[in-house]
Amino acid sequence: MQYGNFSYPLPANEPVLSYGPGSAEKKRLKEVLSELKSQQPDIPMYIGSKEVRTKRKVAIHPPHERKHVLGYFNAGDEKHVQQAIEAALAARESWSALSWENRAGIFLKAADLLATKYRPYLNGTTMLGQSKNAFQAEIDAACELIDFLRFNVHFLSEIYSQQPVSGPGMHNRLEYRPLEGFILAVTPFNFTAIGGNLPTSAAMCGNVVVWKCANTQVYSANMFMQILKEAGIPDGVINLIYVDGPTIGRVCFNHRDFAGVHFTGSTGVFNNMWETIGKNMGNYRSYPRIVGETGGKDFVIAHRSADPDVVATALLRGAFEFQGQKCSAASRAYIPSNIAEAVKKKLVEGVKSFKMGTVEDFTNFVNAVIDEKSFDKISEYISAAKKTRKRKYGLVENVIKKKVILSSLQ
Amino acid sequence: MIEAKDPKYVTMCEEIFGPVLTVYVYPAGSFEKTLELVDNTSPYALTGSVIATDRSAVELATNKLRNAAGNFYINDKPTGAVVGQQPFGGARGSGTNDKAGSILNLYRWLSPRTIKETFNPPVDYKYPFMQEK
Repeated sequence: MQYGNFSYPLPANEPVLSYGPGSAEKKRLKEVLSELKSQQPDIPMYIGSKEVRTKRKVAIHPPHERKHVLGYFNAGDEKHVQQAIEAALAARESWSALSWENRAGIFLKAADLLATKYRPYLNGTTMLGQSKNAFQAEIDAACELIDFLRFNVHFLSEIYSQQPVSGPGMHNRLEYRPLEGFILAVTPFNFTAIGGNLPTSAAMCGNVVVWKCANTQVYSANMFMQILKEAGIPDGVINLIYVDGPTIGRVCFNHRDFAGVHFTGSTGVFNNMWETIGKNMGNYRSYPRIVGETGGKDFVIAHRSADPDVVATALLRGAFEFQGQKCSAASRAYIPSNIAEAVKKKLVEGVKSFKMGTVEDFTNFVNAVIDEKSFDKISEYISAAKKTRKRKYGLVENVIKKKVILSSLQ
Repeated sequence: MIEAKDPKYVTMCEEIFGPVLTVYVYPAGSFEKTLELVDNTSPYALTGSVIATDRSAVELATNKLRNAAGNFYINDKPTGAVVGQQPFGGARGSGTNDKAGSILNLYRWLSPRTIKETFNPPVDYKYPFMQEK
């Protein structure tokens, strides 16, 4: 029962903490990093009210410190996907019937918990598990995820207030129902915030969710799940499982109650999903929603009127922060001949000056790429470019190659 | 960092997802032709930047690259989108462009039901126009 039209005004963006010298947030984050490194949690899957552990314990290592073990996650199989779907569908009736203000309250509380006592924990697990420096973790795991939660509450309340006109003698209204079934959220390693947003945006609307995060993001995803639990999300509304992609797809995309997929990841995987869903079209209760953000080959084009310093700085930050592992990372640049020498000089100087290493040393700008598979793929491109050097193409510098190799071998 | 002499060299086209930047130097007078190259080089259309102090160059790039990026930056790096300020996502091979963290994305998880309630329902099927020939 609702006795008022409650308002959720446009929030302000969560302020980015600086972690400057001597700051309280830096001190606290360092304490939490040591605390996290002193523990080895046995991370369960979250299915309905159960914390599910299996015999398949997978060790989690910091990408920049492969010898260290941060903890273990419990890998699941096909039956866990089925259980997660069942748990989601069992929660659906009561969750979709819960009043908007009580749904909204859960996500706003999660945002506040994350902004305060859990901030160093979600940042810390992101830093250690995904090899992000303190600033990259802060703008992702803390600020962006807090913003997603608060802004989505505002946006959804705006949607609910969009209503049709009514002619004489009638009243017209729109109710914005959740989808009939469950949503599958498949999330990537590179942003903890995307990991949090893809399941919560759908859940906020009254949907129930099966969430599969990347194996390389389980460490921070588990922390966010604990925040959601503390904020009061009912059991079964978001079920977090660690099962390989093809198995998840086989079970979810064959299920009559599959209502949509919220995806961020590679174009190839997304294309496969779309094809599989298309083939199974006759089996579904409704037409599933297919929402995905995939790859990029992001450009910077400079005009001859551009300031070389502006160009070089945009490229050094845009291409190399978080080791270029953002969907939006600059990876191809078009530089006009009149400023090319000046830009190249700045770029080479900049890259040479990058300090690289662990996330616990806050002076490092660059950390490690996510895993060996990624390292090998990147190395192949670099080796191929080196081979062509004497023929058609030239390498400006070998500096980055050494840096990349260092980062993953440690 | 790789300097490519061929603007369609593999690292100018394929996503590597790592700290590799490929630079192509174009003749300073061929800006417009290079914009076409930018538009046609990769199957993706996620983010991109133009850097210029010349306003007409900014305008030309903004128009020519309309479909080359879902997040287009002028005199900035192409990363660092902020929720509520630069809704994020792209089309072409980069996705469905439903802009996570924006109102557009939330519509995808909702299925509206329209309800019409009539207060004084008619009791005769005949319309007024039927009362004369």
